[in-house]
Amino acid sequence: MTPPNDHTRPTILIVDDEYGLGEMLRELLVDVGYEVSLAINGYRALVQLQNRTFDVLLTDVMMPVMGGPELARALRADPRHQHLRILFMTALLSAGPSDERLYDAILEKPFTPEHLLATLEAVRGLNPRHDSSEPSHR
Amino acid sequence: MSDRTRDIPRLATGIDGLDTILEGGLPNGGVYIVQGPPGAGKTILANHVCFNHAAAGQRALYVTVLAESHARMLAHLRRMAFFDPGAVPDRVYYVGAFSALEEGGLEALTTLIRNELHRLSARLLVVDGLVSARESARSDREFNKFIHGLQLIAASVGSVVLLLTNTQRMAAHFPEHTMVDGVLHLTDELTNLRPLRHLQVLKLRGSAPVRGLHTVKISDRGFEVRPRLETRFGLTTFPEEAVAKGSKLAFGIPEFDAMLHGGVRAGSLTMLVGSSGSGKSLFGMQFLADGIRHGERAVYFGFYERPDAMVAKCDRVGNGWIRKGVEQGSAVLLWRRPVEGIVDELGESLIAAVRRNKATRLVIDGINGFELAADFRERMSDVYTAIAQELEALGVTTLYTVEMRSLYGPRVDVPINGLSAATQNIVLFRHVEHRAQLLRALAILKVRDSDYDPRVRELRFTDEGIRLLDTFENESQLIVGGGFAEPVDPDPR
Repeated sequence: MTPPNDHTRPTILIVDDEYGLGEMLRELLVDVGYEVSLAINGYRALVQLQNRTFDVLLTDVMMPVMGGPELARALRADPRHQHLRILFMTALLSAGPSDERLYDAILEKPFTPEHLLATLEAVRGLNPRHDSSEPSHR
Repeated sequence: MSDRTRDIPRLATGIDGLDTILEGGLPNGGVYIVQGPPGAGKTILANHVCFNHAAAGQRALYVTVLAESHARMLAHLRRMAFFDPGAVPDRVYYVGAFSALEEGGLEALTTLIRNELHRLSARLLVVDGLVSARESARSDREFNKFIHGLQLIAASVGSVVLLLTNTQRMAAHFPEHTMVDGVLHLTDELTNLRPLRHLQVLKLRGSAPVRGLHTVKISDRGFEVRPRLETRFGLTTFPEEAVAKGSKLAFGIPEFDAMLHGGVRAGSLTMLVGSSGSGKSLFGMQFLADGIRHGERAVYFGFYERPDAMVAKCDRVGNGWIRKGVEQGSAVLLWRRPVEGIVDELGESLIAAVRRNKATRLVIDGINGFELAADFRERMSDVYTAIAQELEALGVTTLYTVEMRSLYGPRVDVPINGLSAATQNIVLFRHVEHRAQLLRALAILKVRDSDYDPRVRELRFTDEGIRLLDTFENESQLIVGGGFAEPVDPDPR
């Protein structure tokens, strides 16, 4: 597995099945210095995560083939991705995963670019997950 | 529902009125197109069915293909009463499929749909944005193969598939109509400056749906369909002889009851026709009052007078029984605004009120209010006939008021079509000039199969009640305004 990156640019994997949203978020995040990859469902994301790691996973909840909670469960169980920060984005907060261990934050759609960037900064500033004894940013 | 169609397993939409039109719902294992212009309610209809399906413990899959974003759709749905956030995502699951369509064409879309239905064990599938799928097809043949693939999926698991499509972006000819099992057509048009939505079942295989246009209402309650009233009410003709042999119901006005030889027949329909202010409504309320006084139940259904104002007016003319009836629960007064109503909804609420309250006496005050709420005026004769026959079948004795345009004069016109044949009794109210005074007059014009007193009587409202007086004993041509030229109609419409 390749290392996440050279730590000069944070990496993020955006997982969303809605056409256009992923591309729009990529443009935004590339502009502020992220290295961005896209996947259109949880399974495609998992395939990408077999070969590399990311700093942050920004994922939708409901998607074809594999939904966000199922993806997060697989990643939380994988020691290679223990450092991965997971952000869910959903149009319906109640539809988000009920298990708080699956995520570091939830963004309610629609959200502003400022809110997204602030949330990303907040979760990236958290202690490494395995060291954290405090509740994460929720 | 016929025996033939009753046996077909169906997915009930749970939508008020729609299942009635569809003979109980959409047959399982079928593919149905829901088409219409933007704003006609396709998305709300489909989501409403999904959440009703979820409320019944089943699962629904909602696939969007370059349609409205899920965030925006859910934002709109939040205000709807049917929307249950707790049903998402376990029982209603939304996925976007345009990326799959872009990557792998219709074949990839079919695969995605098949796998998702299987993964989620969903029995209801909505594909929102069929027009995008059609536009991505390289040929009609490829698109027809896609529809056929959906039919196989639906048939193999007994699912119901709804395909939502925008008619404005479709070609004039829809070859897929010949393939699918049903087509629901939605419209959104202006009629007399009022926006009106309709639903029409163009096709439903293996069923005999209620054909024609049905009114659609979209509100915070979601999607509602009002089947055309004349297709639901008055379908069984009540034998006229039963009314003719019925007991007589009095008004509690001794002079008038004597003119009728006891009253009007139970279950009959009586028209109170007259100019504005001639006393029709209060006279009708007296009929309800006498019923309440004898332990009967009564409904007042009016378009112009608010219930509290009507109760106060009755108090002022010595009719305290209406207030007592309301307080005791034996009288119900309902007020509807005709301009904002839908004629089918108004008719349905009238019949429902009579049924719910087990009313034996009814007054419909200002029956032309139905006409003001009509989407198509040419329907009204059928609508009135259906209402009259349904009321007759319910056994309620009904009085309805009709306003004449002329305040006084030789012309007596009744601007209501469709009710005359069903109306057993007609009472005329007029203003007449008598010794330089304008007085109220009353005369019975018709009592079917019975004798009556044909005198023209003065109608007087007093603090103690309604009186009929023989003020005009020696006069003639009172009703036609003898000697007076007909005035210019103040409202020549």
